[in-house]
Amino acid sequence: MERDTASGRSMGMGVHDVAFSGHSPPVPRDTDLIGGSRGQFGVLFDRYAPQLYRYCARRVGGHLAEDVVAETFLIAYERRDRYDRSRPNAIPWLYGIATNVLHRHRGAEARAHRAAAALGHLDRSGQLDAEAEPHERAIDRTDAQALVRTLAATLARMSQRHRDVLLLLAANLTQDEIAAALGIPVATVRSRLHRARAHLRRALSHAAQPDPPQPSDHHSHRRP
Amino acid sequence: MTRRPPSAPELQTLHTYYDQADAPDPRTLTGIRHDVLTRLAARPTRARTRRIAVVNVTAAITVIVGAVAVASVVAPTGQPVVAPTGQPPDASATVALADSLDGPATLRLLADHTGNAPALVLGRHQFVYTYTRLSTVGKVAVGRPIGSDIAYFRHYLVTELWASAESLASVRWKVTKYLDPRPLTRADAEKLKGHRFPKVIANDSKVPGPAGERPEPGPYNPTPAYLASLPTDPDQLLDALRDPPHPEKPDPGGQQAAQKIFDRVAYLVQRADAILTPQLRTALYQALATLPGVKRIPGRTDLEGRSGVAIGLTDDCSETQLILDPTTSRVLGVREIVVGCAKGLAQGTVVAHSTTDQRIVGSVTATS
Repeated sequence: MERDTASGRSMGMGVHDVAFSGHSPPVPRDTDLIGGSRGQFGVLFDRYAPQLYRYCARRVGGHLAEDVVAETFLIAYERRDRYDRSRPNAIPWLYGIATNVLHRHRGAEARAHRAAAALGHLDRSGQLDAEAEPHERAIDRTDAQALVRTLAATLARMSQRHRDVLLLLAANLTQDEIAAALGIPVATVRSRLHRARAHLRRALSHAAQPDPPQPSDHHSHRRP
Repeated sequence: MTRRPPSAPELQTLHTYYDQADAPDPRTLTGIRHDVLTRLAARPTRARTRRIAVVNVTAAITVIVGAVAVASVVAPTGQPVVAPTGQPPDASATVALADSLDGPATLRLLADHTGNAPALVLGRHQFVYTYTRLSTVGKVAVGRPIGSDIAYFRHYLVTELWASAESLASVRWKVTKYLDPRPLTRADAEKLKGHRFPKVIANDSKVPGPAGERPEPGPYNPTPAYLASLPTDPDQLLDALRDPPHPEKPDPGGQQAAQKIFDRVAYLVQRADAILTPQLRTALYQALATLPGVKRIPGRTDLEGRSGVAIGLTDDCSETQLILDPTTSRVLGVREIVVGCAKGLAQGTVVAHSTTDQRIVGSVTATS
């Protein structure tokens, strides 16, 4: 809620007193933060930047993710008047803006997925873990990583619209939220998800087949 | 939000892949947050500068570049007025501003000589021309895979802007950036081998943003009505510029509030430099003098080498310096230095250094 700067001192003291009297201050709603001051927009940032960063880092890597997240919030601030106040949760809106910004980095995203597909074991930060290649590594884990690498390679080749719905789903958005984020009907989201998942299933099932022995097999990234 | 357990194998693999993404560390988020909020504070309008692969690093909290509206002084009746109406320049002010003076004493002395600012006569069909040249730092994605590393480079950004006396809105602005790019450090030079600097980009815009999208009058959009509404008593002026206390984030010592006020004043005196009345400028400098942490930085010049008096304030991430003319008290430029937060930039890196000037001209595109 925007405060009146001219009379802010007295209004602020009132709120301050409540905060220090042991009562929990009310948690501001997203809509209040979006319509509020720059400082309140900072609260919105604190609330959602971590998950947006993760989404962007998965798509374009950590360094570019910083820029994309910053750009997302700058655009959100400029377009705050257009925010649909009937939607109490701002996260689909923010994911939608981030997705549009990511589209400018299409090439970087494809390279990032290809890099993940080419790398060996990935640690939590997505970097190559040089110490994670012991021979005694469990077979099932190796297989899981091989599937993940296949999935990354598939995402790199996939159309942008299918990649969008899959990665928004992975970011834990519901189909309704994905529709709101992308500005498309829910039926279209379902249709795209259906096709994208079928694409993934085909690729993963092909990767799960045992490879015939090849003279150059030790160069393959798909099988150890 | 809790994650729904995926049932299908392809979704399980997708979630595994997603979960391997970078989790942001708090310093990264702090840096992004600072970048976002300072850039919001520096934006007088909703005009957006796209950042694609190359971005400006400077927080630019007080540097006016790309501004699309400059206020000019027009009386409420629409009649042009003369502002500021000061006394002839008094060189004794320059003599008195010894480097040994601290920040508050320097500001109070400058406040006493605001009448030295030359009067600018603004006619109904004239324009306020603002020229700003800024040395700043950009960054570009490098490495293999691309984006796995960042290299920094210094470049110049020149902004020319014409604002109508009658409408108070910008009617034309030219922005040229990536002039004379060069690596920031030797390490950056190494990283940039095999990469090209961004090409020079020159934008010439004639039409302001859509009507109704101009920001509310305030320190970042100092319309004549807003300037006229500001009290010339320093304490009352501070109240007008101060945010109310945040209920969830106490500000012991008032340092955050002081930083916000400093940023707002620094921006306002640049945007409205030529048209501030001596009384308001005096009050603004007297208000700055009361802020905790305000200091004098000796021996400072603006980007063009004009000698000035620098007043600075430091927050967790950067030190912002406002460079003022020792004789007229007008703004010469600003300087911003990294003191923390900026990932990849050494402490002491100058991320912004500018020179600025405002003149009254007879037509759009005229510069004198």
